[in-house]
Amino acid sequence: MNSTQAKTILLAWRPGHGDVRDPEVAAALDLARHDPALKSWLDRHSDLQRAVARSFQEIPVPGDLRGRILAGPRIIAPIPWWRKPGWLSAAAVVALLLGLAAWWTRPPAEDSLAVFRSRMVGTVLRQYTMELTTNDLVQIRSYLNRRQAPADFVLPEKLQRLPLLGADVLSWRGERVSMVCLDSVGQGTLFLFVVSSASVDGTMPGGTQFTQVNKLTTASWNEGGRTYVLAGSGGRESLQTYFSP
Amino acid sequence: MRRGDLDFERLVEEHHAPLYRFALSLTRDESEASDLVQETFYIWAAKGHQLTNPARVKTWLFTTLHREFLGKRRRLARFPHHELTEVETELPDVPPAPPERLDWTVLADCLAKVDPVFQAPVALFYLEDYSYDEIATILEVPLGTVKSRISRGVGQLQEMFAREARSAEQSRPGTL
Repeated sequence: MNSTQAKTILLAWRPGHGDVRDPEVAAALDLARHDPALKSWLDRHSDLQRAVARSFQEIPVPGDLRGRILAGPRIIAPIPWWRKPGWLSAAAVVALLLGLAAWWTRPPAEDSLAVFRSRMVGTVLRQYTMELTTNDLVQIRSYLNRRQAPADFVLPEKLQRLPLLGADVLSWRGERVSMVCLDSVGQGTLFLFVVSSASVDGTMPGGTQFTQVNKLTTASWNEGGRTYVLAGSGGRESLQTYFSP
Repeated sequence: MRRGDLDFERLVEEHHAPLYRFALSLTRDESEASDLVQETFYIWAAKGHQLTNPARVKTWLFTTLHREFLGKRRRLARFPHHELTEVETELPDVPPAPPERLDWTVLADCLAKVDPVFQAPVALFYLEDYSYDEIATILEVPLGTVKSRISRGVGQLQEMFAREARSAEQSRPGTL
């Protein structure tokens, strides 16, 4: 570890806090004990950390906030389960067992691809994050691989030409779903979802299936044991251009 | 008054101030911060009973507030633009000297210029006595990501302080 690396680690260190149990922090502090320049930097840094922490902790809180919370919409505060009488807990267990039985004996989903598409589109319309923001495909594959999500996806040639924005990992029936975001250059963000075909029960006709789901148009296809869903706000014609020869 | 009402009052009494400080660190708007705290407690009133471990109430409240904040931000910009290149932090060789009293308004101005993705971890890092693990749980990101975001966020914050200090120095009469 050199002085620059130590400084980077010590930026995330709070004087007098248990962070010192972190092995990296401990090593950086040890280096500071033997490096006068680093020691001087650390002293100044520690003073600044204390001042910043004090300022955060002294943020004034509106005096009427507590009252406003309690006077807000009529709150029906439920009793936590650990305080409920035993017979209520027993009833909850019975209800849970009945629910599980219904789940186990449920009829198979008619078209789980449609459900998958709907769920994925709903996720990006409602809220989504990109844990990784990069335009580097190698980084994206490496990230997805680390998160045990499909990383070996194959993009149609025209999609390969679009700039990448980043990626995240979602979940579908216990399976990891890769979400890769692309910049359609003028037509908003495109979202590509890749999941193992084994987790999507429905059958898909050969070729690419175009479907409108909520506000987004989707293109779905199967290839190499993977199910792909591409979603975007540019409309069907715009999406079709990526699949035309 | 029912037992549930008393529990709720106690919960509000105990946690509304730290939650407000976290909310204000994220929004830097007193009205928005107050709204976020109120919504967080209303969500607790509706769903808090689903929490199985009473020791995790505080973490649950912070996580919920952060989720609500992110949800609001996303609703404002449904398809947000993300920077492709990460902001590099240039650490000052010598950290700026801390002022005798660092006013929150100055700190808020500097925090606003820090990359948004670093702001929540930095705020939790300074506000509460949370470990890296706890911050990772609240923000629902991996431990390594949290440590890196704190480090880079604090680095950016120091850079802002250094700029402020330089600018104050230059505007002082008699200096070139």
